[in-house]
Amino acid sequence: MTEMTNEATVKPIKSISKIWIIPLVALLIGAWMVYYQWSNQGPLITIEFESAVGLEANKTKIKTRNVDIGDVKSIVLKKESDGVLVTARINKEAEHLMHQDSQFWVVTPRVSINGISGLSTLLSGPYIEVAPGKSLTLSNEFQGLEEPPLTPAGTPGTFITLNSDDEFAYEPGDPIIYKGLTVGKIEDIFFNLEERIVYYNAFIEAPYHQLITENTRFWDVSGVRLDLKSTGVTVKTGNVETLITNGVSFGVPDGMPHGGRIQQRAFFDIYPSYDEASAARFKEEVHYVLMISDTVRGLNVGAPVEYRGLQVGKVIAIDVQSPEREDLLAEGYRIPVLIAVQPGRVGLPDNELGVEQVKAQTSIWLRKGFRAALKTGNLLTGAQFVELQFYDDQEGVEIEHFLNYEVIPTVSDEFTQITHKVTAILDKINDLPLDGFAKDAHDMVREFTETAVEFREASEAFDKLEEDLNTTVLIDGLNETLENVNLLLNDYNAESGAYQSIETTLRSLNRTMNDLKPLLLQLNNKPNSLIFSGDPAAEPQPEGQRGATPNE
Amino acid sequence: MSKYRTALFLACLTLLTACGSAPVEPLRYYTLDDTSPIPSEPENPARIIVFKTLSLAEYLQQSYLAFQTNSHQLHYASQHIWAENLQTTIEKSLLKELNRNNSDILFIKESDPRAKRANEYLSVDIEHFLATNQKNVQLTARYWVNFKKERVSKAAVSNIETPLQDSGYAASVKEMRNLITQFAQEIAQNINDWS
Repeated sequence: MTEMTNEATVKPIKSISKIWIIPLVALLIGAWMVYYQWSNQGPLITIEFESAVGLEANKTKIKTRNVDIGDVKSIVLKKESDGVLVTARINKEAEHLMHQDSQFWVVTPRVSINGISGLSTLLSGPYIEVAPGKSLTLSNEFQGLEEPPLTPAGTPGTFITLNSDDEFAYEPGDPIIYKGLTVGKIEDIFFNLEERIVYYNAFIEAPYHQLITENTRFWDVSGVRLDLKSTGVTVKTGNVETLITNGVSFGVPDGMPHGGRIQQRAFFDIYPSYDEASAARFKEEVHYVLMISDTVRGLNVGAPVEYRGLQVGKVIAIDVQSPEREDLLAEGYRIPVLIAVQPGRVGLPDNELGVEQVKAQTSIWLRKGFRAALKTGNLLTGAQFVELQFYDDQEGVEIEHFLNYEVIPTVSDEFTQITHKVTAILDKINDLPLDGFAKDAHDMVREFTETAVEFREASEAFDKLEEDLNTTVLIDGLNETLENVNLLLNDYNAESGAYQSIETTLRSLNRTMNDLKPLLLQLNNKPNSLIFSGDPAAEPQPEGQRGATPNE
Repeated sequence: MSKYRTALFLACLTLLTACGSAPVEPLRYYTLDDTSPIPSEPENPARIIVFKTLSLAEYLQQSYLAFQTNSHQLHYASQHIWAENLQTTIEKSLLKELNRNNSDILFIKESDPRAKRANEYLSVDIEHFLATNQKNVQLTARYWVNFKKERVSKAAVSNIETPLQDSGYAASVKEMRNLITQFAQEIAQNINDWS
């Protein structure tokens, strides 16, 4: 018999169990999900703020135009502790808004002179608003704004820079006005310590930014401007908004060409008023000095210099300092006043040619009696101005110089002339023979005194006579008499017994008189009837239908 | 001498005879008002009317009784005289008659203190009140009442004649008294009609 052995053949397992397909598929799905999530999430950006007031990680939203585009993921303090870094995840679809010049700020309730904003965040909580920029470069790091920008990035218009070395105090948000319309705002302020000039960055909205040209001038219209100048009183204001805030207006001065539109950020000066802004167009000036012997009270820097009533320049400086300046208390000290004659104002070219023409013409005129004088322009304010004109009684003089400026001789002002005339009158009065007048006046006064004494004596005599009348006793007597009359009248009033008695008596008298009337008539007709009366039986009497009454 | 004495005596005798020749006729005085008691006033009269004025014709404003002898002639009786003012006696008589049989209206004189709060006033104007030669006695009068509240006045005319039964002034005064009674009744009737 053959011995048979049954041995199992062991074969190594060469294939992986199919069961592993399941975790593998799960792994792939998970990886796909991670990839999908990673590939579809937006960028992680970092915004730097000074503080994180109201911001919370995983809660504060990033919004633009009130649409959520991201969430704040973390808030950490900067290493230097001078700010906070806010990390936020931006949605994929908003990734293109993260321009390099995009602006971020925290929206919270704010109350300012420009209005109230962010009231909706009282319930929803603060959020970060994004104003997308225009830069072509995208970025992940931004500098947050502490306050909302007055002009969101991308707003059509023009940025300009205004500067002033005057004492204006504009705030961000103050309006820029053109003919009463608010067309822009002051954005921010920068003070240049070296130049000691305040620069104001401002934005002019479209389409008004087209009004900004090379010859545009800006001037202050803050509040109400009340000018008390030699020309009178003027009141000016910008619009209702500038009544309570500061403001700047602009325009092209009358008579000037508009000039070309500005193509890039331009710098402009802010003038105190339109007049000064308008005057600033005259570039060339010829300076002269007036040596004033009288007072310069009422004369201000900027006061007009007029020739026959037309302004030809302005006062540049009063009491100009010079090395050879005399002591103010020295006798005959003349106050140097620097004035400018502007060729552009007199119709000459506003260039070197015009300057030369003014100098040449003035030199000729000075030899023909051309003089300067201070005149009172406004009696109310006492403001003065410089008037240039010819005086026939003035002879030509050699031209004097002061600090290399030509000196225009001056004549006394009106007040001084009046003073001189008054002095002359007083001198004539002094020449009068006042001694004779005084003697006559003395005699007249003496006679007047004697007359006054007589009048006083007459007055005293009259007073004595008046006292003799003893008015008090007289008045008392009159009062007593009136009282008696009053009592008498009371005794005879309608309800008194005396009145009744009188009335009764009068009635009785009246009746008696009536009774006597027939008797008197009878006596008149027959005088002896009083003695020889007629027959009573002959007197007629009423007859009855039945006859006589027995007792009659 | 004795001759002169005789003549003087005869002259005095003649004068004394002349004085005593006229018969003495006594004056007779008359009054319209009688001595009947004044009628008692109603306790709560509905109306109070003030007898404000009574005016008489000019010829009646004297003491002698007047008698119309013909259409346009009067005679004043020299021996027959009103004992009091005719206006007073008419006023008294008229008031007495007005209040006699009238329990709703009280007529008072103007001197009455209640007159100040009265609102109705009676005025009478007597034009004729005398005996005539037609053997009758005549009363002609106008009267009117002013209603103060309503600011209206109502007026009427009264012509009353009554035959004179007996001759003489005493009989005529008696009939005149009767005329006053009739006149008062007529006034009272008209006032009631007007209200």
